[in-house]
Amino acid sequence: MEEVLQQEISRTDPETKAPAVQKQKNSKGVVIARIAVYAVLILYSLWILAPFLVIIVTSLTTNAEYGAAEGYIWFPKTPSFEGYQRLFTDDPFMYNGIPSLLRGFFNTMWITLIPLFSMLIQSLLVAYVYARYNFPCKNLLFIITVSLMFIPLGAFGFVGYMFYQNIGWTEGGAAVLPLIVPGLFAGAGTVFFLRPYVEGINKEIIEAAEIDGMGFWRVFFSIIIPLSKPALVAQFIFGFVGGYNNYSGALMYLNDNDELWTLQISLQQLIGYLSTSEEGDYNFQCATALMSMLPLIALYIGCQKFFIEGISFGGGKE
Amino acid sequence: MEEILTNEATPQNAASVSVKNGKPKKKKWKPVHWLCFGIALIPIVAFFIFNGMPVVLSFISMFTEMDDNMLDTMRWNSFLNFGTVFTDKSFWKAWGITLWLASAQFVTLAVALVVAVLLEKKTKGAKAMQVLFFIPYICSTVAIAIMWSWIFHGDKLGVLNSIFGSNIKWLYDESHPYRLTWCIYITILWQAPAYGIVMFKAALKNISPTLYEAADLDGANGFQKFLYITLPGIKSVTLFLVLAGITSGLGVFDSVLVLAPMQWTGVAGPENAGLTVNYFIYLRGVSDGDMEIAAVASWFLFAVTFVITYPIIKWRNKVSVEG
Repeated sequence: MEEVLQQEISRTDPETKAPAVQKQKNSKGVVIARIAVYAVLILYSLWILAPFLVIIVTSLTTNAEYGAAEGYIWFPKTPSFEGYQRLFTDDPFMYNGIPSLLRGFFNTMWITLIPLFSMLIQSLLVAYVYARYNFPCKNLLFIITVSLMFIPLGAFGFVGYMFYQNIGWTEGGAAVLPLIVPGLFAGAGTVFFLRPYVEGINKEIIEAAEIDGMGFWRVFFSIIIPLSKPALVAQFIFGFVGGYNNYSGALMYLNDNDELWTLQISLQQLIGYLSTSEEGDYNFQCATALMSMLPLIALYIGCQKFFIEGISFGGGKE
Repeated sequence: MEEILTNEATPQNAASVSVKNGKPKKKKWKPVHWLCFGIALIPIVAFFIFNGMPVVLSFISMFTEMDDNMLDTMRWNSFLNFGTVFTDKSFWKAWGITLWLASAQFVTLAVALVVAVLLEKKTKGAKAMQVLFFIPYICSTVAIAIMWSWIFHGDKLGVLNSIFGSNIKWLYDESHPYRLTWCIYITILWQAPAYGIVMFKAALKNISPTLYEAADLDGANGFQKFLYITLPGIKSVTLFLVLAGITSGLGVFDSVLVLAPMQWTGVAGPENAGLTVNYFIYLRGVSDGDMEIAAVASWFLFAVTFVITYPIIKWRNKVSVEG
C-alpha cells in the first residue's frame, strides 16, 4: 500500500512543480546548498590540518617555556628551532655522528628502492611477454598468475618470520634480506595492472623495430620501457609510499639491529625514548615526527598530479 | 573469482585462437618462446617460494610444538595449540576490540563519499582541498599516531585537556580502559578516508555528465540523481573500498603499537584494551617466539577475513561483468 503511494508521489512530483516556481526555489536553495558545501569542506580541511598545526607549534616551543606552562602553549613567546637542532645533537641512538632519523631515512631508501626497481622492470617484462608473445602454457600460466593476486595474505604477515628464521635470515645483517629479496621479483598484481597498458602500445612501432633487426631485449629496453613510463610511475609511487611507511615488516626483522633501523623504526624508538624524559622534550618529539613525514609530503606537494593519478589509477584497476 | 578469471581469459583465448588459425596447428616453439615461458614463470615461482612456503610452514606448525621455532625440533602435539589459543580470553577480547576498530572503516567510507561528492560540485578551491585531503594517506601510521598522542596527552599540557580545561588520561586510564579504543578510532578516522576520497573522486569523474543532463530534463531532483546515477556509477569502486577496508581494518596494528605500547605489567593499554588480533599475533609469535600459537591465530584471522570478504568479491565480480 505504502509503496504504491510512494510511487504515485514520485511519479506526480516532477509534474506538480511549475517551472517558474522551481526556478525561484532553486536560486534560493542553491545559495544555501553552496554554503553548506563550503562549510563541510572547510570543516574537513580544518580537521585534517589541525594535528599538523598542533605539532608544528609545539616543535617551535622551547622546553623552558613548557617547564612553567599550565596548559598547551598555542603561541610560543620565543619560537626557536631548539627541537630541530637537538635532532642532530641529542639523539641517543647517534652512531658516528649520524642521527638515527637520518640513518633511518637512508636505510629506508635503499631497502625500498632496490626491490621496487627490480620488481617493476621484471613485472613489465612479464606483462610484455603476455601482451606480445604466444608461448607454451600461456593461458594456464596467466590464470595462475591472476589467481595468486586474489589470495589475501595480509593475515600471514607475522608468521612468515618462522620461514626466514629457519633459513637463517633473521640473524645480524642478514635480517634485511626478508625485506628485500621477496620484493625483487615480478609481482602478480603489478603484471596484471601493466599488461593492458603494454597491449595498448602501438604494435606497428614494435613490428617496425623488429624488422629493423631489434631483438627481444632491445625492443623491451628501448621501446617498451620508455613507452610504459606513465604506468611505471603510477606503480612506483604506489610501492614507494608503501615502502617508506612500512613499519610492521621492519619492526619484525630489524628492531634489534639499530644500524639497519628504517625511518619508521628510528622514529618509533626515538619517541619511545623521549617520552620517558623528565623535561618532556615535547619540541624534540614533535620535530622528530614532522621531520619523518616531511620528505614524502614535500615530494607529494611537488608531484601531486602523479601521486593522485598513480594512486587512483593503480588501485582502481585492481 | 571464477567469473573474473574466465572473463580475463576470454580475450586471451580469442587472441591465441586467431593466431593458431593463421598458422599450422602444431606449432614449433622457438627459443624466444621458451624464454617467454621462463619469464612468465618468475612471478609464480617467486610467489610460491616467498609467500607459499611461509604459509605452508605456518599451517604445519599449527599442529606441532617446536623449540625456538626450529623445524628440526618439530613434533606433533595433538591440537594443543588450538586449545591454547581458543581458550585464551585475551584472544577473544582482542577480536572484540579489532571488530570495533574495523567498524571505523564503514564510517570512513561514508565520510570519503560525502567529501568526494562535495568536491565534485564545481567547488572553488576543490583542487587545493583535494591535495590537502590526500596528505594523511602518504603519512606513516606511526607518525600519525605520534601526532595524535600529543593531542591526547594525559596531563594538563595535552591539547585536548587544554581545550576542555580537563585533566583526563585519554590513553591510559585504569578506570576507563575503553577510552583508549576511542582515541585509536579517531586516528583511524583521520587517516583512512584519504584513499577513499581519491578513489571515489576518480570514479565520479568517470560518470558521463550527459546522464545528469538527461536526468535534469526529466526533472529529477538531487537525491534521485544521486540514487539512480551516482550510486550505480561508483558501485564497483565502493565494493573495492569495502574489501580493502575490511582487510586493513581487521589487520590494524601500527597505530595500536604506538598508542598502546606494551607496559611492563604485560598489558597493551589499560586492561589490554589496545590488544588487537594482529598485535596478539605479533606478541605471541615474534616477541615470545611461539610461532605455533601465532600460526593458529593467523589462520583464524585469515579464515574470518575470507568468510567476510568472499561474498563481496563474488558480488563485485558480478558488478564488473555487468558494467
